Amino acid sequence: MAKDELAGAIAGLDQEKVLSLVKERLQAGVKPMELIGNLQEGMARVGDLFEEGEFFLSELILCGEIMKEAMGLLEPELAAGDRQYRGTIVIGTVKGDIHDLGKNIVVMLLRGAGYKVIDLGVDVAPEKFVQSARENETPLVAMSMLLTSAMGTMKECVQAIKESGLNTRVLIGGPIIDDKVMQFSGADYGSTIASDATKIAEKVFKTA
Amino acid sequence: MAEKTSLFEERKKRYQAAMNLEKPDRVPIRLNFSGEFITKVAGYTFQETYYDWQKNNDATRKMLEKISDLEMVIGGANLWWAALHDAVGAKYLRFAGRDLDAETMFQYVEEPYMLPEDYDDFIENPTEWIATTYLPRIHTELAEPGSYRATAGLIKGAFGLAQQLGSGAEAMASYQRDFGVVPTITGISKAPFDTLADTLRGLSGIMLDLYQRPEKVKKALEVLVPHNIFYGMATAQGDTDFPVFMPLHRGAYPFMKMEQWVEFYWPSLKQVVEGLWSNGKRTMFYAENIWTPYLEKIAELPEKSIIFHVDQTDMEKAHQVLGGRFCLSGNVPNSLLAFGKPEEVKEYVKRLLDKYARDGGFILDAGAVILDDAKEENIRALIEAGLEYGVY
Amino acid sequence: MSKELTFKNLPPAVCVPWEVKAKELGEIKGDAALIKKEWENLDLMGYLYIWNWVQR
Repeated sequence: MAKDELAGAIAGLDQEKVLSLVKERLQAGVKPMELIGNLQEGMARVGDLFEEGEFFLSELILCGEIMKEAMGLLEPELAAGDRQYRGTIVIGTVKGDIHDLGKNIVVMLLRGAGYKVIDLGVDVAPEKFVQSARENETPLVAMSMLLTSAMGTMKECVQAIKESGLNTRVLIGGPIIDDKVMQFSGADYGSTIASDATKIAEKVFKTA
Repeated sequence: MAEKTSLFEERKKRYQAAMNLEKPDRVPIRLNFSGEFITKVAGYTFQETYYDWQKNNDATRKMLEKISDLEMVIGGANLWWAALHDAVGAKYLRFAGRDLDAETMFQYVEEPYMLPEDYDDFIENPTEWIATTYLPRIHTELAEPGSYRATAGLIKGAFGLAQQLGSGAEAMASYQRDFGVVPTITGISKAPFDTLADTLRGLSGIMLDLYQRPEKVKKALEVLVPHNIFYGMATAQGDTDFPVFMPLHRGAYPFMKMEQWVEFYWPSLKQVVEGLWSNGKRTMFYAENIWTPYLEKIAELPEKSIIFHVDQTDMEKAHQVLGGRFCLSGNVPNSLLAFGKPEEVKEYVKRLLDKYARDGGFILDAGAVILDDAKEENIRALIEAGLEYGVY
Repeated sequence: MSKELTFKNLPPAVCVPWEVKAKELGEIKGDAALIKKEWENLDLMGYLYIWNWVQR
């Protein structure tokens, strides 16, 4: 169980309690960044529960909704430069595919884990991945895909990063990732499980 | 002609024997091709078959000419005619050649087109709610009911659909006549939960509803049951020789936890399958992705009432729990068809048939709908292997 | 909430129930069963058209 009450409320998917605690603590003068820390602690717990098979997608989606509302309360209170991140990650669903469920869950988990996530959305072209990776000087680009038919563009996206000369690793995610797909795409990391993203990010940012 | 008729009868007999858990002369081969695969094999662009319905129907014919030994087809290449969607101004579909590159697969834009506050009207009278609230919302041409554009849009939409269905039926009859192929399915229906989740509330919407308005969800599902039974029978035009297609989406693992699945997904789906079965109509239980945790529940369905289709469900477990009760189909991985070599496909099929088709009640098919990434040579290898190793 | 619904709890296959239409038509001089059958047939077409946008 999470130590902090707010973190516990996130992990317990208790929407009302999360929102009332955030309001209460803001009024009591607690710094927004500290509250974000609490929320992240709760999110990390949610990620673990998903990995352990305790939580399902329905819970992750609900959790995402609660986080969105909580952040809606916090964002106006944050001064510029307040936020501190463990690093920046660029993410998007590859060109030819507009499925965003998996991507959105990964975004939520990565943000929860303290990363700044640049979400390029869906149907993202190779050059857009490269451009964003360059601008943000990120060591990790994550690409999502549901359709096997988007495999060709997935490969193009991975290759574009590899050929750009950037020192950037590529993580691919989606339900159809297997050894064959890894080999075909040339990506550095791959997984079918959303919560692996935070582990892979940790590995990448340790060496970055 | 007579030769094709007897071929049709032979294939129909084989297919039905497998569905009835018997041992036909050999394992039937049913390949569920996407419009995009058929289009590619036929040598058209995606835009051509999405827009030109004549080419759409020709595409299947060309595929049947090119790949011999195909014994079943669904119909013309694509399910959706782009021009009809333009006529009504469909917001939720993007098509090659219009807002996508000419060689990109169509895309469905999922949004909560039904809002939480719509539940009450939907529950009271879904048909009227769809007609008066939902259609104007999802179709830009119908945005102002009563206006000239909306009236023209309604008329064109109805004509368009009638035209599409008429030419589709004609095409299917011609494939049957000229190639002796049997229809994979007749009619389509859905799990009530998927009806609500796919086109109405969207995935995020429905998942939040499970927590925020569970009683409304249940009531809406209850209301949908008779409609979904009826829709399956009506779109099959009463045919009971072949199964109704039921593509299952949000019941896959891990969308919901077991308690939610049992509470929300399963009861209404079970009622629909049972209702169809009481009309003599079998369901092709097209279980996309993973369904392993739910096999024991699915075993509650009446014997032979479904064909349980395996995508990424644990095949061993599906065979253990459902084998001998329902016909099984599928399991050849789509990634193998896309990235594997013909020898690997043949090897996989051989192993699959040796292990799971031995006692009959088995249909050879890919795990999921075959997209345009599948290599034609791998499809040929799959068919060859089926003909060679599938003989009883 | 949208405008008032015209009908409540209509069964499958029905857009406008024959009973309602029959009442509006009043006295039917010829074969009522024939008129009903054809009404219901086209009513079914309308129903399938409406639902086709949802059942996909």
